[in-house]
Amino acid sequence: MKKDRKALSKLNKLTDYVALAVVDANKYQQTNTKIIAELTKQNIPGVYVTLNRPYENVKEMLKKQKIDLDKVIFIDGVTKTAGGEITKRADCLYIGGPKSLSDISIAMDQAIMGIPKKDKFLFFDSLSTLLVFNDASIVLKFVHFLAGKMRIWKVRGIIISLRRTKDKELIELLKENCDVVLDL
Amino acid sequence: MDKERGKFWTALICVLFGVFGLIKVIPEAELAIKFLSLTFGIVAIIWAKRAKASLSPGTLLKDYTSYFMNALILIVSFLVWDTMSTLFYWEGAIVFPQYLFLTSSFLVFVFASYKILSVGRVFGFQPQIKQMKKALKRKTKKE
Repeated sequence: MKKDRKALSKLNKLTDYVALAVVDANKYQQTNTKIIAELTKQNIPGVYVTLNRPYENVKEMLKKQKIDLDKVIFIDGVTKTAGGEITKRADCLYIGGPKSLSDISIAMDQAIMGIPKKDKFLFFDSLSTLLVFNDASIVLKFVHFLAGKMRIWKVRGIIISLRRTKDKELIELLKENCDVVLDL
Repeated sequence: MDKERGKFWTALICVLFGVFGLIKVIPEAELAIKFLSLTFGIVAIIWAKRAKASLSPGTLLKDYTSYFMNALILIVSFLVWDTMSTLFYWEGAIVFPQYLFLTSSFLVFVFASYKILSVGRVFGFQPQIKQMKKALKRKTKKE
């Protein structure tokens, strides 16, 4: 717990960064909530890209922690929509599946650029899910692109990855693209 | 950045040389302009084709790119026909297919515009941004 707080406080000192958060599967949910709570408490708006848990689930989880959901734009890439089509609802954009990397990229670009504040975050959950649906080489290319975009957007970028032995090699490669690596 | 600038200047110089070459080779201004437009059209098709190849299948943007590329192909077809009719002094019914190409290209542009309208609707986050602005103001007032 103390270790997590110390790691997160490391981020508070920075205004824009690309952070790779390697999270234990058993405290994954708790850690995600903590990061979002920390950011929104500082009145920082942002974009939450969920590829791991459906938006409804994430929403409930964040609501329980009394997080102001109006400060977050949600992009859901896990909930299956009818025919796998992109569906827009008032509070979330459903991409249709984690394979549509171009749609995810456009959605992120539009959402981030629309946020009226200079200080904003992009929370990407998670790399591990991307790896389930896409080749490692594609994921590597995508994260390289994402990290570059995060730098252009000047956002607080957090990429979540579960601590799994099969992702270890990729995480090592991705570390080169990130400014901070958080071991949570 | 310098590499990009270098590419830009090289491309510009190439285009200028191309234009100069065309004017030199083709003495008739009308034909020279048509050939020049044709080269631009072909470059546009090549780039659109490359964009289409790199986009994920089944995405809105890929659909839009397809429509856009098809419209470009039709416009270039119109231009090819038009250039040929100027070159070979075509007259009468043989000239009409070029108008078919032109009308079809605009029809495909209508579909492309409709597609980009859907892209705008889906990827536009203005309602959420409005909510967000209110939420951020709320917080500032509390402070």
